[in-house]
Amino acid sequence: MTMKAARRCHECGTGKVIPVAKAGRQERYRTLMLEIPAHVEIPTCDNCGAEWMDPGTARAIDEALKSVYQASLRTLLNKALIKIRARTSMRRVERLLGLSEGYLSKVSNSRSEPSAELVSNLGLISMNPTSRLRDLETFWTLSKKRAASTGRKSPRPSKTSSAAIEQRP
Amino acid sequence: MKARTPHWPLDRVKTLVADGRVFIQRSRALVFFADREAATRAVQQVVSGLTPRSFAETKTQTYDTCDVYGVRWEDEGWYLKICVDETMPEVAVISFHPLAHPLRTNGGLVSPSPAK
Repeated sequence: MTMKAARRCHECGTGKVIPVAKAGRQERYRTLMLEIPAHVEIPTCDNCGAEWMDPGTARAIDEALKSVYQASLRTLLNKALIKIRARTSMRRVERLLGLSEGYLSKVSNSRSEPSAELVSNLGLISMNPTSRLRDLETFWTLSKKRAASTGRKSPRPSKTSSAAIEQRP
Repeated sequence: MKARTPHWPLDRVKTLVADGRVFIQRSRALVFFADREAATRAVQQVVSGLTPRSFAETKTQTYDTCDVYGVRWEDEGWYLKICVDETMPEVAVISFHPLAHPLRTNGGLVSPSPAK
């Protein structure tokens, strides 16, 4: 059996890059800093500690972090919902976020995976539910008013223009 | 002025990267991306688009000879430093990060900021 020689580290030039699995390694994955599961092997220099990666290792690490990330999103979502529920109904939140009725209950009970976008919105709201929800309502009300005002391009039609319209075949 | 030529033939670099034979240093490349697969895809995309005009200089380090490229990617200037490890064989991406300063390449100056 032939063994492939270990790579020489191109960072320090002297160390050998070998797969290392250990606890305590942190990595940013999407929006969060997560701990890489201890069983995941990362090519690491035995001299300078530089970590390297090839496409296969990249996939393996991302797969491992994906499930950690999903679990973290769910925890953050539930923490946010506890704070929000103390102030208002879920129905009101669903309406303001454009979600279908019962969606937050479904996500909260693990029947659907929460997205980072949803958790971001709920996280922001949970920091000050009363104020943030009021701001959201103001935002949608102003948007509706803006849309209505841009739709009216001229003042109310005058009698003259009404007569002109009546003459059209 | 004669254009500089890279130490590692560009065709060889592109062939290795297209075959997935690429080894990327974490601290100076991966930290700029949402996840590792995104970083790998970005490296493969950028390398596949390299031309002699992107080449800046060859740097002789203690144990390796590396080629430096300056590229525009997603509207920003990026710095790429690579060498080829023929013992594997593969391309080692030692640095891939946004430019801190303008970099002179065969094709001209690549600036860090988005193009106007």
